[in-house]
Amino acid sequence: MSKIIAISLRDLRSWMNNFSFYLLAAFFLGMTGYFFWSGLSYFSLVSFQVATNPATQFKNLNLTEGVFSLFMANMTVLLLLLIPILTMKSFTEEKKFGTLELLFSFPLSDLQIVFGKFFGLLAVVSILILPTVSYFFLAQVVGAKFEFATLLSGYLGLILISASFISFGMFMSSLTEHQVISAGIGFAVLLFFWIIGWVADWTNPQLGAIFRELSLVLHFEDMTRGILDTKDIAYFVFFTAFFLFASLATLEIRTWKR
Amino acid sequence: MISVCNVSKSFGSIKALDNISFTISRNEIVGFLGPNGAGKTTLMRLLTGTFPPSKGSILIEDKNLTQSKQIRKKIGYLAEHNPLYREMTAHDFLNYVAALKGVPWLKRKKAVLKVAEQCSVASVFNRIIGKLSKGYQQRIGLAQALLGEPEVLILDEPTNGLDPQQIIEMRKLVRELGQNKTIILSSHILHEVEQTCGRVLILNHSRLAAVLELKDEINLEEIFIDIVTKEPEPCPK
Repeated sequence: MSKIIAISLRDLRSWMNNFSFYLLAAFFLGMTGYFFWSGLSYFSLVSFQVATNPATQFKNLNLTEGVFSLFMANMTVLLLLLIPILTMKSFTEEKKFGTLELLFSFPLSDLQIVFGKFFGLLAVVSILILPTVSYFFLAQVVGAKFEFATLLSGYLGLILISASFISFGMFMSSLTEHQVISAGIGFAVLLFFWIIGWVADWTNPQLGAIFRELSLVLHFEDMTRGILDTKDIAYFVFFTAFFLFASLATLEIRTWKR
Repeated sequence: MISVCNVSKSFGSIKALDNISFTISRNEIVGFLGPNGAGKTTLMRLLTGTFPPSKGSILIEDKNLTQSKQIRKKIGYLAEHNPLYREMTAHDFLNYVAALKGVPWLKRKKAVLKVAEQCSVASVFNRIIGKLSKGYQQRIGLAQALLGEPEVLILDEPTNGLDPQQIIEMRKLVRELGQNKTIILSSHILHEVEQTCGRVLILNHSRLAAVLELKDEINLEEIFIDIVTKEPEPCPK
């Protein structure tokens, strides 16, 4: 365990000492801040209209549906863009500079290397996400009170979906020595998992059901409404475990006798 | 201490090592000599457990290297081109390596200081590795190999890229370390092997071409040139 923590901390420190992390963080927080503010302002406008004109069509108007779910969806799209950039160098750089060979010579298992890198990146993404919690406390100042349980379930979903993105990005990074290829393919495939649910409604029912089950966004949606379903949690856990195993297999290829 | 038995290694259709066998005793300094592509680095990577041989076995103290990760604790490795995390400080890097080699947290500071002093890098402890001279970087590479008190040191071209003064210092350091460690080093430079090693293994065309005890009467240069200029023997059908 201490070796996994050592690898995670090294990767975390490496990002914290990297100026590009702060550029990414500024972009992420700027965009999420804008999304939150615009979502809340729009909700406030709609609420005012409903209050002054009861004949309007808006029913079941609430902060969770009107602001939180939308904000979470927007934030996930941003993470879909940013996480492949964060994961692209996890293995490619180690291969490029030969430090992976150094790691292989230490009394370490490949699983410890994969877990170390995964938890390091999860910590980096958590640091990126954490400041956005403050938006909800700031919103309280203007009277927008969000349900604590919904926030908790939404952020759990966000961490789970980030873990899925990270595991896939790491797998891409383990396959190539080129960071741009790793990030590019990583983004394209994750986007595919993101939009696959869109076609579920207008394709044949059997295929639609498969698309729905594969879709990252459909499994995430309920969590942003405060609904915790073990099926959704299991989906993200399996998705993450599958691609971590795929990264492990890529590292282990060298140990196969040929 | 180390016994390599009938080891072969292939990468696809390319045979990097062909049926190599030798043994190395404790506290011996052995040199691997050979032209480029002879298989020196592949053999060193096999000895560090980076990948397993296609055929044969490598035993360290009678334990199969590929079957136990813990044997790697006995090995310190300075890889070719000396891979380092260039954005880290020397201190952070050595601490990191100590953690990965399983040096207990309480003993880590002392262990890092010890190897830093041995390799004379204590003065650049807080400097970024990427900004240090090649000589210091090579010493940091050697210091990381020494962490965890390994019994076997595997040094792949340890004087690569160093200036003459640094080469002399590195050779002296290797000889000092050889008093209580088994050292395997590879080099292109005959003179270096002659000055540092007690025995030399000459690799050519992926095979072990000769094993020589380095005594005064041996003309290593003549033997080496004689071996490497020979055409490879055809593989038996």
